[in-house]
Amino acid sequence: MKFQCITCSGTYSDTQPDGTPYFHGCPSETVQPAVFDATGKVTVAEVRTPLANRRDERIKPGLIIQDGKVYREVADPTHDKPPTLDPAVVEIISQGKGRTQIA
Amino acid sequence: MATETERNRGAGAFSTPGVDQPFTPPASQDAASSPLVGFKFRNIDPNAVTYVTSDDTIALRVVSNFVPQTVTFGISVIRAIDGELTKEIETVIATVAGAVTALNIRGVEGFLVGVAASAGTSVQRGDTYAKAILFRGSPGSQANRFVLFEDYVSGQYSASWPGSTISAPSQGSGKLRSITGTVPGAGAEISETVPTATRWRLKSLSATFAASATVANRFPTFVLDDGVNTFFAGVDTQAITAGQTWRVTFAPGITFLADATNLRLQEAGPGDAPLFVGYRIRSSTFGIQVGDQWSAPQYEVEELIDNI
Repeated sequence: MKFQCITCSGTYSDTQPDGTPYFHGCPSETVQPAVFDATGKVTVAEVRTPLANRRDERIKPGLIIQDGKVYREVADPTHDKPPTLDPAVVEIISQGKGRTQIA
Repeated sequence: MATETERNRGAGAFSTPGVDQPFTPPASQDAASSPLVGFKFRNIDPNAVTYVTSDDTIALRVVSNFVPQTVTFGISVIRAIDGELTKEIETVIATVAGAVTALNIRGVEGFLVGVAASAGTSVQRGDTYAKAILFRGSPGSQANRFVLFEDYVSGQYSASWPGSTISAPSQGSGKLRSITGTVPGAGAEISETVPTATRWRLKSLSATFAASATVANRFPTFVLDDGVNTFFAGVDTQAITAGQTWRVTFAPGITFLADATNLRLQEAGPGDAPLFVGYRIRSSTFGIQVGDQWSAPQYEVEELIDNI
């Protein structure tokens, strides 16, 4: 399926032709373009600002799926004890403003 | 210099044909002496190192970036209770790319003879990684963790214990992937991020840059960063002017080249730059205008599972 990101207006397919998943991430900045005069000289400099509320579809790290249930593995820093498995859900890193399906 | 005996032993380089008798080696003799060690050929005890008790855990772990992926494990045990050689088949189905799918097997008592794994639909090394670990007691503690095997598996290549090496996921060659990236909005830049539990080696990236009618000189370049800090910033000396559409390719190890006739631009990246989880490949176009459009971003990477 094809989607458009509401945050950055980028369009993408969430599945590649070979069947592997694709994880969209918004660019980190927006550009206020420079202004040029007729001779090509910059009259107003370009300004780049961080893009707010970016969408990042990558899966949150540290998930472990056991017996069909999703957990987050919390390792013991001393390595003396087994890690704790805290219940979790499969989440992406950031929803941003969401996305709309376009095809 | 040959000795007198050698010259006259016959049939050699110094012999006289028809005169000397050919050399005849002495008959072989049995030189065996009483052996110092003996070997049993029947009722042999298995290796005690592999004895598992019902308190131990055979932990099977799978990570795949090509999901859903079914990994089949075969486990052979000589049961303590009756001495029978049993062969169990277990399947672990990875459904979430970048997550670990786990199956713990407990309650087995006997001699562990072998464990093997192979993947169903995976065809390339680099997308499905399997582990079999023997935990003395509860799984998870590093101190009682005995790795049987860790390696990539596919439909063609299995991993097994005994026999396979223990290979970290970032070792060796990975899967070659051709990825279609996000087409950014007008006036925005390309940005591609290395997914969770993944490591990339960028081979090349190619995209089309169409300049709007706004008069300006654009200089598209590519940047590599760690998610925040830029560690490589490319250079472009070829201006793209209003109304032009260029195909721009960025690849490690090539030299800068601008073909103003066919509107093709190639830009050099670092010779070898492994990109870890969260690292980004992005464009940075000096002079980009609101109506300018990057499109058709296509890149090839060698992909490995990492950081699991």
